[in-house]
Amino acid sequence: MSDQDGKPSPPQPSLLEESAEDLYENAPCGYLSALPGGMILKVNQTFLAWTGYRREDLAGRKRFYELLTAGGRIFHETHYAPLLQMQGTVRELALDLVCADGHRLPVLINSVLRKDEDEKPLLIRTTVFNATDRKEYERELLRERQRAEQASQTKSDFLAMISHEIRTPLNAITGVAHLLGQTDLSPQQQKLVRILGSSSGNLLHLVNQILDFGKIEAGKMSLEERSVDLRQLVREVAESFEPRAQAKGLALLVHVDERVPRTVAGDPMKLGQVLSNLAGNAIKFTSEGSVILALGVRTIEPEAVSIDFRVSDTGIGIAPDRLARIFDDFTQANYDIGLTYGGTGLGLSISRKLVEMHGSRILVASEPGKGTTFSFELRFKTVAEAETAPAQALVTSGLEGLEVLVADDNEVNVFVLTGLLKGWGVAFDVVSNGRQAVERVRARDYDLVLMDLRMPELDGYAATREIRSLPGERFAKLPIFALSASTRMAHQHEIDAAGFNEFVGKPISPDVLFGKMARYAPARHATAPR
Amino acid sequence: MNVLQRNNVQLSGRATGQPMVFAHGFGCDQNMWRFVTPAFEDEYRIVLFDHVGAGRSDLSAYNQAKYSSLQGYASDVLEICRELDLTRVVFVGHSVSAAIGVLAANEEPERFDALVLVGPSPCYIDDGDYVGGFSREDIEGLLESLDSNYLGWSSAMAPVIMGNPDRPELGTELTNSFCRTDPAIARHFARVTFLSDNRADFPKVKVRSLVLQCSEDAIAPRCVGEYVHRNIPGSELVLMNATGHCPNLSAPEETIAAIQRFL
Repeated sequence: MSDQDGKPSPPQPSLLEESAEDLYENAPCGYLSALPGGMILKVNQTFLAWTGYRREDLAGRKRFYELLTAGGRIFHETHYAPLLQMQGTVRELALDLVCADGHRLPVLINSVLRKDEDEKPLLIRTTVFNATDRKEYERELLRERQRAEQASQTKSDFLAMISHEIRTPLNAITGVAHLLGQTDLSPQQQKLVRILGSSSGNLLHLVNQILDFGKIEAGKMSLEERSVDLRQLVREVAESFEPRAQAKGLALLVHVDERVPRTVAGDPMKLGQVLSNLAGNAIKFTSEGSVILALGVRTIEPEAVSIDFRVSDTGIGIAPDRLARIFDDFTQANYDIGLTYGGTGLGLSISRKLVEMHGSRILVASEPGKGTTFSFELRFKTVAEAETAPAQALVTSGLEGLEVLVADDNEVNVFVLTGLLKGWGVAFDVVSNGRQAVERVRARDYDLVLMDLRMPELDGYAATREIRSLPGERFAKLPIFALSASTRMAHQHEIDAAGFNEFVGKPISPDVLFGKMARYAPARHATAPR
Repeated sequence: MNVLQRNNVQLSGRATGQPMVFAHGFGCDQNMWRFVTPAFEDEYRIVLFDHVGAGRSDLSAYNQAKYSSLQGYASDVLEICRELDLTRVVFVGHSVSAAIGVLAANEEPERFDALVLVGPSPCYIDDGDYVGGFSREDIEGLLESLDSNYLGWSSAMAPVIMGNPDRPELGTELTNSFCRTDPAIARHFARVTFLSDNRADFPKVKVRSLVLQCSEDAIAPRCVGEYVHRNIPGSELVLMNATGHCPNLSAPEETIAAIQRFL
């Protein structure tokens, strides 16, 4: 449009208004104006066309959030509304509108809060974009992610299953190595047996770590709460590492703050595992000097205590730039570490996760060449001493003359187990299923039963339940140990419910089994401590 | 670990004053109290914090097991109180934090002087005669909303980076965005919040309590506020003119006045 001079003339105001109106009504997005409380004042034609509402259904009648699904309404009120009030704007919020015919329209909304001069909210102006296509892509993306996660999960499950299967033959190897070591051997053979024993021990440790890791990853591990003697726990850990420390000429010291309460409520297995991991690492990476396990008290309250756990060494230390990554999964401080010292880097990441389950964090301070200190602080409820079970006779008694029933259908297990029992002078009978076990127990007054959990005909749980339900006090009191290649945690509940007295994990550690059997050995068999 | 860092505890107000602990609800962080706390600074010691998973809390402290019930959040509140050695606490809890405050006050009633419950609900799901306002399917719908909004493409919940030439004083705050939440945690917190049932805990409250109920609250409808009032012995109910679920943001003056009258 131009006048005769060729200059453009200004369009008439009415035309401008009309085109603005047209732009508003038919824009490729929905427009919606509402009062600060949400009451809709005005909507454009595009919004009406998308949703199927009539103008008179909405303006002055409905609040914006009333057009949302119930779930979307919660999101609107907990996210959109506060954000809009604090920021003055909200961008790209994804919501579903419920249309007049009930179908759902995925939209993205942008809102601006208009305020008057006194900062008082006047109006909410919202732009609505149709997000049907985008939603479809998002769904696809989510589906693919779930598929990928599932594939990863399947592999983890497979790894756990394989690790589990490896434990059964490992049971035989470590057991046989132990028995072989007790026979007459030439020095050369003794050396070979030692290597066999330590290598299978290492392999077992690795397999256990993989299983633990998988369990933590899958969220299948939970904390138990029972009374723990922290002082004893830390001493036991130290004792178990004493041979390794001695072999390296290291001083392994335990420092316990006198104020550490006798008993607290905690999870002894997982605490022991963390301390063992840290102590094992400390000894591994220290060639001279000392390793110290220390328990300190941060705060004491009437019913709770904060304990500072600390494992320090005078070892090689960790370079500052590596410190941050040492807790990551499958990570060692550097490649050479794996070559020189072995290991998978799983220990620290498991320890980190176990401490995190307690709501805390492992801290590390280190100076290359000087040493490293790992520490974490945990809060426990204190347990009144009277509540703790009376300590069972912990005196190491001999087992000679004890009469034991072994119920296990796996020949190799039986071979290993009975080899140990023979060595300790224990008399035994062997049965290969739970049914026979119940019959033998009825017929004969055994001192103790070692019961595999997985057996044909009647499994260990059912057999134990049946024995416990037999009339007569001796069936209630008869010590029955559960034997299993699964970890205790996996079956804790069923084991307790069935009425087992103890759990012994396979591969069987001779010391552990001996210790537990000695605890239950009746006095008539106890011999003087060695 | 340091509790104050874990929960991003911020202290202000009169150091020797009676402590007021403000707890934010689901979907937000301590920023949501920004219009309310200044009114109490002269007289009270103001304690602000973020629940673990929200705002600037320590995300690594999040533990699925601990926070699988509101009790885990309540124990955090008590830990903060212990750490700061707070007594005669006035606890102001919005939305789900009202229930969290109830749990905390039931565990250590001697520590609390008063509870101010803003838009409380002991149970969001309808159950028999009880009207909570929502069904389980509705909560699944909320989780869907969360998923679509936290997915990479949606910028709503991501840090907002934008210039504010006309209001430079807001600049730095906006770049950090309000109400940041870790997506996975938000999902879990949503589930724990909206599927929780603390109806048995409210009647056990021994601390004097104020229930602030908005008119037309889509999350905690009026009948729920009245239920809370009936079930907390000796509680006071104030029906506010403010609409919506966040009167602390939409009507700070009215909220402040109601709290001041009560205290």
